Amino acid sequence: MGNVMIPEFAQEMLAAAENGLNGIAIKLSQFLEHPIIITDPLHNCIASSLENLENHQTEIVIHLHLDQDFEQLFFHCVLAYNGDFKEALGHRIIVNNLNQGCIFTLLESADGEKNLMDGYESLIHYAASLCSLQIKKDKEIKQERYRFKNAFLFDLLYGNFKKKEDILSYGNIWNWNLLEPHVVLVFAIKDFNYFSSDRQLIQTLLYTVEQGLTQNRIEPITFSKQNEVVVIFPKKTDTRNQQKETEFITYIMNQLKKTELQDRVACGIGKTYENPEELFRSYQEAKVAFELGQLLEVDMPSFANMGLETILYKHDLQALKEFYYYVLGDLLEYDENGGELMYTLENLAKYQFDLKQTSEALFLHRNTLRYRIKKIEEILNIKMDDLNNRLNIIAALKIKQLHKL
Amino acid sequence: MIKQMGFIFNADACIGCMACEVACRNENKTFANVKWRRVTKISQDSFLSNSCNHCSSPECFRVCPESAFTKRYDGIVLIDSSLCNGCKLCVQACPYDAPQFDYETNKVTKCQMCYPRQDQGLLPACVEACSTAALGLTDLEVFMDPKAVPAIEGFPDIRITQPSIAFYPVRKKERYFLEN
Amino acid sequence: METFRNVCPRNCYGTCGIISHVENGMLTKVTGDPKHGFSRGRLCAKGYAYTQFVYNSYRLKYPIIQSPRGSGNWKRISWDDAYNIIAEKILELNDRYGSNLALSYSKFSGNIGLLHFATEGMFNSFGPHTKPFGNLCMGTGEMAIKTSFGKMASPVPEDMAEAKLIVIWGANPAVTNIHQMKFIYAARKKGAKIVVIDPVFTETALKADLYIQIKPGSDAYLSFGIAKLLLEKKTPEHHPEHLNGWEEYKNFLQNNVDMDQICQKTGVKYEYIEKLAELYHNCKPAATWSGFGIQRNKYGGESVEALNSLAALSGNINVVKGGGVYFAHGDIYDFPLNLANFPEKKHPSISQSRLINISNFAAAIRELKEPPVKFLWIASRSPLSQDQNFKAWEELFQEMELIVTVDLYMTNAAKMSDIILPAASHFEEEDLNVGYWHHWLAINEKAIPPYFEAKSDLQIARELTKRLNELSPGFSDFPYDLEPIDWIKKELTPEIKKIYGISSYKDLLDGPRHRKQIETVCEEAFSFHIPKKWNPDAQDKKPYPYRLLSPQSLLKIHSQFSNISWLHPELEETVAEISKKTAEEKDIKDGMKVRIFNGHGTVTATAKINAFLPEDVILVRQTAKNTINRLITTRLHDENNPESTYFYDSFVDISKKEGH
Ligand code: SF4
Ligand code: SF4
Ligand code: SF4
Repeated sequence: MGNVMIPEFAQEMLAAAENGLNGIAIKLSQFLEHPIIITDPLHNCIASSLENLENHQTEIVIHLHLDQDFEQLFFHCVLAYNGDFKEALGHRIIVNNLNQGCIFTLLESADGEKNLMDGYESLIHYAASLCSLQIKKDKEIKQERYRFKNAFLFDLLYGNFKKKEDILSYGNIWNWNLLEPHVVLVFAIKDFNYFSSDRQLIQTLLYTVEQGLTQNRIEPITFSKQNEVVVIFPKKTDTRNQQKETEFITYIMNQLKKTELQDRVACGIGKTYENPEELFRSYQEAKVAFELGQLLEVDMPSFANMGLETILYKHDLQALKEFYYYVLGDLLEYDENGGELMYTLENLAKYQFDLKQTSEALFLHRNTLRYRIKKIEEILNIKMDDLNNRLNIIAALKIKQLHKL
Repeated sequence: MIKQMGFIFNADACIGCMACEVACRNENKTFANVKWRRVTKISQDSFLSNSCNHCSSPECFRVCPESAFTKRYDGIVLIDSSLCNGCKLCVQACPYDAPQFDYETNKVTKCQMCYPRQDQGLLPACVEACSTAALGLTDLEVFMDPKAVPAIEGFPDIRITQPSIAFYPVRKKERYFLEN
Repeated sequence: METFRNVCPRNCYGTCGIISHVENGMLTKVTGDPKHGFSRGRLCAKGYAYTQFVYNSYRLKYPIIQSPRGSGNWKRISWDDAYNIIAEKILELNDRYGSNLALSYSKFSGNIGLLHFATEGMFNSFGPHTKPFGNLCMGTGEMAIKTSFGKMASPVPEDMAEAKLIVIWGANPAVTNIHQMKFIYAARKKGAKIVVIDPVFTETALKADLYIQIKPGSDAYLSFGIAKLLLEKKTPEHHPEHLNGWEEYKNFLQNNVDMDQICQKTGVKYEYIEKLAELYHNCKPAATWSGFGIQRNKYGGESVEALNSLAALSGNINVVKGGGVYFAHGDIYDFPLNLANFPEKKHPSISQSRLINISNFAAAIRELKEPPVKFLWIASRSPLSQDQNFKAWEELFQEMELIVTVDLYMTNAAKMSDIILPAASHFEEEDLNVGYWHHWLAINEKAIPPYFEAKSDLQIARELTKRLNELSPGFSDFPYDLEPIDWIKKELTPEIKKIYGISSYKDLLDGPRHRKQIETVCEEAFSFHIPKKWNPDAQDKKPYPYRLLSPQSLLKIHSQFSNISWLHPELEETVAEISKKTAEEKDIKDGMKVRIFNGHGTVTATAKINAFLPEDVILVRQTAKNTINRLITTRLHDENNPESTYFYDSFVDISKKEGH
């Protein structure tokens, strides 16, 4: 072996990484003699060499220079925070092929000198790699801590606790007051796939939701599972008022637009329960609301607000049957002589009443489909473009499906 | 650690041989009309071997007035038949015909994903029995395969319950039939 | 809990290793033997139901006797009484005719364990009798393989995974050989093409990359067509010129085979024959599988030989893994088969037994005079479910003075017997098993005590011969002192031990053993085949409009397993699959009751429309009770040849049942 030396700065940076992202930021800024800011994927500051920046509380707005974009590893931009504007060189932090934030070097040094940082790229790149390792490590530690919490939340959300006292005493471990009313919110990725990237996106979703809760000064009680993130949301005041959770959801949805998830996430809101033993119902309701929300194209579906849809999930089968025959009975009767109209209607509902998709799926000419819809409208004596009628049809079909009528 | 154990069903490989169905009976000694697993032909081109899918949002569970169902950390949904009052609400709620009403005992039982075997590190009896590897077991929390799909033609609606089963669909084949 | 090694002894490709789980002398569960390299720790649905096969309220518990025959008026008797009645009849017939030629037996493949040849051994120990020979199931194929290759051989089925092309002619492994499917899939995973050629769109066809429907019985024509096109493509690295019969074969393909005729005969379009030739040309090694289905008609031998030639022409009969012709092998004949070959006791004036071809057993026996056959022993089969020519059987039964059936269940044939002896299941006896498909040897341990008073064929042979000798000293020279394990040891000769690399039967207690040396075929011994008569214009006579195909059901083997509720929760139904066109013409709807008939009788069945069935075919799967074989009556061309029965040369008509 030749005389290969590890550069001094590399050793020092490595040592500084012992103190986490802040250590890295401070050390790098010492080398470069310029301030350093590290952000998460939502552009919150999570570490910096500046004393006036509060970690996890300061949102940094990034203005890219015209010829730059986020796909590049390095990019020039202007940062806006605490009312200031600063020019900076950004570098992305990549963990498992996903963007996990940025490390920014401000072009203006503490004593007001400006430097474009040419020639320092490899140093910054090295620091970014250390950040990515650090973030990965933090995540693993966090996951370890999650384990017990997850087990508890799992049992809570699946109603595996058969005693209230157990729930309360476990909750106390994390200082959760489960005696207060709570509501369960579900955020889930639509059209989830068994793709590797989709798996990692769940982490992004969880992170965003937890950040959002912290920012709103709410103790995060969260749980992630397959394609969904579940939040047990406290309702201190008026239990019927849904303003707080809708605000929160709107906030999260906006935050998500900044991430790879874009608009792939939908949500569902369960009913509020005072008794933690019943929270599992809120969870199932939130999921039902999530599904129905997508079906009916409602943005913020709440189980409590779904008048018709909750009937769907009532236990009285007889009532459901009556409703079903009330809505679709005539069509059934008509089809008895070998017609296909029910089948057509089912597909129509399946494709969200989209003529193009339905006709393709049924191998029908568009006009034939139109004719059939007209026929169905005649038989049922309704207008199909009325949203209420659509809801009824979807609900009736759902009853049919669920109860195998 | 929290898992969601689930089945993988390769519709392209399954030959409908019923070994899984009978292996389940051999293991669990279910008699008469009680079938925890069932093989059927669900479309022109494919069979389906189906049991309880240990759903992510089990409807059986939500509707049960006796809270007889529980979900284990590995995702297995169990029914404590001693709590069952025979109301059959779960039988109606489950889209997959999984809960089986036993007319002799007036109680519901269903596939328990062979948890006693899994706890010993063995595969479920049905999975072990499948000679074509059409039926498999996986942790869906970590399972990844771009070729897998959430449902195939003929499988009941997966919305709401989110069954813990992933599929490989049937591939296209070339066929020549006599023109008489 | 204890475990034991067992082997499934059914007439099946699998011959799977079983681990039986026993608690307090009860079989509680069965699992596959992971050390069995072919079945690899798995069984089929039937196999997994074995606990119900063993403990079943329909199972026969005691020896019983009925009178009059067929009345169902059964009475339990002791084994002693049963032996006495049987022995006295045997002795009386011997007295009457001066020999044992009046005694015969009908035994086939109900249990293919080597120790079940005890029945044959027992009859041999009486001296000359009336003896069935041949193999009604696969005899034709066996002969054709021997003609082509000079011996019976079939490659290692596990090696099929190495093929680049697998062409399955008239076999349906997805139903009858499920363990083979994983090797086929393994080949596919490595890029092989799977082709199925079959008149029926089977479960295997459903899975094939390419399925070609062919007119029943025309496989030879298709293979000549492929061969002709293959010949036109130059295959530089392969030279079949030095093989026996090449010139004749080549001339025949070039001069006699006309592609239009081939298309017309087989019903397959030219472009698909071209496609098959293309595949045989491009994909090496190619495995060709001659299914038993193609040889159950009078052209069966021609078809198998034609496929052998096609394999040779395409350069696929050498020993490369994954190539070759699969049919069935004759590993069993390497064993001494001390029971089957038990030396016939000498008779002062009769040199040997009268031989009867099993494919035509009932009719042929009835023709025998001087002496006529008067005593029939039935074991390991129910001819009234699975054989043909039921009329002859029924008449034969009437002419018998005593009929004894050994079985586990009350089969159709058992119902017509005088005495039934309850048979042990394979869990209740020792045995040694070799398959005819894979090359594994396995031992079958006694896992549980016999069910009530059931006994194995060997035990019955021992006890009956002993009784005979008590009544008439020296009547039989059967060594009834030998225990089952002695017979097993006798099979494991030094030669056999070498072949399987074992030093004692005890090695088998650790798991099945694979043959060390596999019989392979070589090009030198091969000869090409051209048909003896080539007359593609000739039309087969069709006495009735539909050809009857009668394959096995998934969850039964003829009558076996039909009483198991896990497999058959509903009452058994005979289902007739018919084409859409037949349904229209005869105004038959799905689920209707129909009559299927011909000159031999009528069978009532439930109609099921099969959109993929050739129009002139009716398909009825094997059942236990109301079996379609009632309509099958065929005779071999030459009864000296051990050919398979021409089951698929049967023709029928169909109509709605009155009242519909
Ligand atoms: S054992 Fe496997 S191949 Fe057979 S039916 Fe079951 S899933 Fe299908
Ligand atoms: S498959 Fe049916 S029984 Fe099983 S968990 Fe889902 S809803 Fe419940
Ligand atoms: S997992 Fe076990 S209980 Fe469930 S179907 Fe399979 S064998 Fe039966």
